Amino acid sequence: MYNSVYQILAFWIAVGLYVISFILFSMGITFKKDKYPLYGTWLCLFAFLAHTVALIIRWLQVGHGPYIDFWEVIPADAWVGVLFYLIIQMYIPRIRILGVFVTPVAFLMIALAVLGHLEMRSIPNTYTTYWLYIHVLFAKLSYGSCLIAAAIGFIYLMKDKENIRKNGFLEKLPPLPNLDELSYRFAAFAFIMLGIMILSGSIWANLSWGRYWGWDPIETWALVSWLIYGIYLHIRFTFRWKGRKAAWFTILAFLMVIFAYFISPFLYSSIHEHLK
Amino acid sequence: MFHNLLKKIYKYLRSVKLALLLLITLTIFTIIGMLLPQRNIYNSPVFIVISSVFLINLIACTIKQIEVYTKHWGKNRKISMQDINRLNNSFEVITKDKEVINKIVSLMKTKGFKVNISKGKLHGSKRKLGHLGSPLFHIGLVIVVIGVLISFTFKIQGRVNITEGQSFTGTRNEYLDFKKGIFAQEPIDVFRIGNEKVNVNINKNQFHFSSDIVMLDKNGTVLDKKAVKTNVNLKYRGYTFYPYDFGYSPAVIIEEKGNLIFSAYSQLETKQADDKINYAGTIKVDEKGWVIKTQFIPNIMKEGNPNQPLNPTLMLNFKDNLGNNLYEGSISMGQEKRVGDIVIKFPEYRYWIGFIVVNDPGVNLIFIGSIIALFGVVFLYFWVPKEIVVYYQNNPRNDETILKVGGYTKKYLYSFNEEFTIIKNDLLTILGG
Repeated sequence: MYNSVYQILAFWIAVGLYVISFILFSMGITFKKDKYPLYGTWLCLFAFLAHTVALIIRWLQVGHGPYIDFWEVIPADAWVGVLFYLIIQMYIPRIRILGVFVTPVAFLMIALAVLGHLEMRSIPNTYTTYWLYIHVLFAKLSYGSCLIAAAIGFIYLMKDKENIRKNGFLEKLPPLPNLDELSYRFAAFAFIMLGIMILSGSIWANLSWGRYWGWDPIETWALVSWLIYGIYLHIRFTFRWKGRKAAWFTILAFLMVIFAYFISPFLYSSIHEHLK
Repeated sequence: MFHNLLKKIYKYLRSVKLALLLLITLTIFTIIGMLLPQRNIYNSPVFIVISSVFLINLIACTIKQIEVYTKHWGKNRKISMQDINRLNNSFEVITKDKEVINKIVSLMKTKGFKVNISKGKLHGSKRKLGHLGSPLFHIGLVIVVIGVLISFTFKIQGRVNITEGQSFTGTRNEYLDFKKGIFAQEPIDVFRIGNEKVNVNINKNQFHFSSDIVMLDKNGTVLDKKAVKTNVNLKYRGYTFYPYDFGYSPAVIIEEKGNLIFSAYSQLETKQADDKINYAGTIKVDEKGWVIKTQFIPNIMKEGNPNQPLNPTLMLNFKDNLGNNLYEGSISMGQEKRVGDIVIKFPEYRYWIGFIVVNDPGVNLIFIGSIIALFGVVFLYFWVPKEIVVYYQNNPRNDETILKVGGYTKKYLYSFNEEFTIIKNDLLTILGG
């Protein structure tokens, strides 16, 4: 029941549905029709369900949550991003088009992981603490919120483009100051979540190895990500950066997070070996 | 003039712009440190200077934050009638409703505002604790920095491996590697910690180990006992013992012409490469200049788990002081090997447990400071204070009341604008349009 075939099947169904959902969102923008993003959101929901089933099968198969290796971590992070999106669009339906940014990130992350390996790794002794769950939970919340902040920044830029502003479809999006503020809120949330993730990791490291900070590449890149969101918040306050500049900043900060979390483990040897 | 210059310097040192500049510089240097790991940027003088200026800026900013907060503690922001038009949101309304003030108070209360009434003025505010966000964040960071400084200067850290039945007193030369902050006291005979027993649970190539540790007095009497394992540490007399590894300690006895030359439990290192685990080390018999490369094989047989100690065997490479091979081969537990006049015995094995031993008086401050700083950020961004001010004037000639209403917040102006518009519409509705 919990074997790899069902797991892979469920993941690929999710990828397929996310791809179709992305096409529908793109069609909505291209053909300026409301119904396509609505269908896109429904498909995104179905993709999310398949995604959830795949993660549950994996969990039951290996007997632990999605935190040991790349194969588990990446789809689980994508899952949190999509969950955030589905919740937000429920409260602010006008922002539904955000899916055009979220769905490709989700299907790329899952596909990348599924094309990886299925090997089950043993759990290191240091994982026998509740700090693991706190650390992983806040890591996922932070990456989900970074994704949403960047996605809102992205649609802000789309709406703000002079030639598109007259596009009837994008005019239905929330007003620019509202988008700007939403992105700001998610960036602030990401800053806090990243902070808790780093702190819980630090407490955990101190519990396991007697050191709270070791300039490990992954923890240092996480610190850089946190500092970048700190700079963003400071710049907004000091120089009143808003609008386009702030939107670009959230996208660049998200790219930094992607690098810190998904690329740097492959470039350095680290205590976070499981992220490879 | 000198005083003015100092004032200007201090003003610059506590500016947010300098904080931002330093934040960006620190981030860039941290990135460079990652891109050029061989340069050890984090210990370079430039990085230390930037960090020090950042610390001064942080302390100055914190003092400023505390000053501002205590100055306005419990007080509402002073907004004059003329200032109202300059606020984020404002409007003016004229009414003949005599109950207007009570209605506004009641409306503001239903919207969650606490209302202060003074002559000709209503001041509603909510989430005032949000003002605490910035000072809390800065105080938290200062505590973190103090913790880091204490940690750097007073920390004692080292590694030690203790074989079953042996003890450790915390004296510097007993550590495998030892580091001490410049103000930390030299550790001499700090305690007596004994390793009573190590329990190892082997499942394929996955190990779970724990150890029964005893705290002893100078006469060897047991004072206390604790079972430790990964993430379950021993805290004793300001030191924390973090179990990090275990290994085998085979007893090796060497006799020459019937005389005992060497007898000890050798702590062999545990090294894991891919699926194989290797337990190896070197025994040095200083008196004779002999060097014996030793490898412990838990299970020499092909059947069973190779890591389970079923048929413990030692592989030896025994060289004399000139580097000549005296013996190369295996010796099973309980056996002995005779090489000329030399007899090598392997009567038993024990386990050792490895500890990282730390005495860090700064670590708790670091965590407490971090938690305070995080609470501060939560207040700062998710408990944003909002204020609504209403000035009213009665005109006795025509019984009219002129209301000037203004709203103010520092963050999330769009949402506040929406909230203010709702309040405005509700107010106009209760005043009859």
